[in-house]
Amino acid sequence: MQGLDRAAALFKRVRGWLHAALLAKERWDRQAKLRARAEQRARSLLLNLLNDEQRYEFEAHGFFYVTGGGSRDRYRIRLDSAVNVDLLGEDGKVRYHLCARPTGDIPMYDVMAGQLLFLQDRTTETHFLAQAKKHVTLSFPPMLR
Amino acid sequence: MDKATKLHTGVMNIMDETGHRQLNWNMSDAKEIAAARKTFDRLILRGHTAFGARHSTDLKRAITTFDPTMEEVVMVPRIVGG
Repeated sequence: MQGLDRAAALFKRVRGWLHAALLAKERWDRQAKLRARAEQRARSLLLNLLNDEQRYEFEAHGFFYVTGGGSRDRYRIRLDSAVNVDLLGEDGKVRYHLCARPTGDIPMYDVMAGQLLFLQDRTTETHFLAQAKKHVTLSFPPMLR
Repeated sequence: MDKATKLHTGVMNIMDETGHRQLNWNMSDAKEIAAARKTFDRLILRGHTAFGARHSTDLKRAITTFDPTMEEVVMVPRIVGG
């Protein structure tokens, strides 16, 4: 009798674990779906903000070039989660990487759109550069990063 | 929607975790303009930077005051270094 009670308790506990795991999976799936939809919406906004050349570069290589609104410097914005802005020299090589992004839990494409808008405007480029952390570049060819 | 109606509608894209929220206003409707202006001012106070253009295909420039004749405005949250 005692063995049966113990088995019933164990069964109840396992059923509880399975139920919790199922709920966690459902929650995770729901969040993943929302996240994917947000990324899709953000991507459409970014594509809408790019000119034809930038859109082509982005679709083909996952990055696009922007000319600084005030400095006329050339930047490359890459599809990456961090340190994704490169300041390029006249020879096309990376002088250093910049890390600055809009606050909040916004999709990666929105981050890129924000960086584009800030850099291409004369007044906000200065603000972006003042906020950005500079990271030295390693000596890889620029196209590999 | 015909072209003439479309030309008189402005859209504000507000970046957030959903990709962005959209707020539309009819350029000839004072009530809708006031609501859009209120949202704009609230977001600017919260630290957002606004970029807008008279025509949606034009290059967006930083703006500090709401212009209801702009076809598209993008509100970007505060920039921080990482």
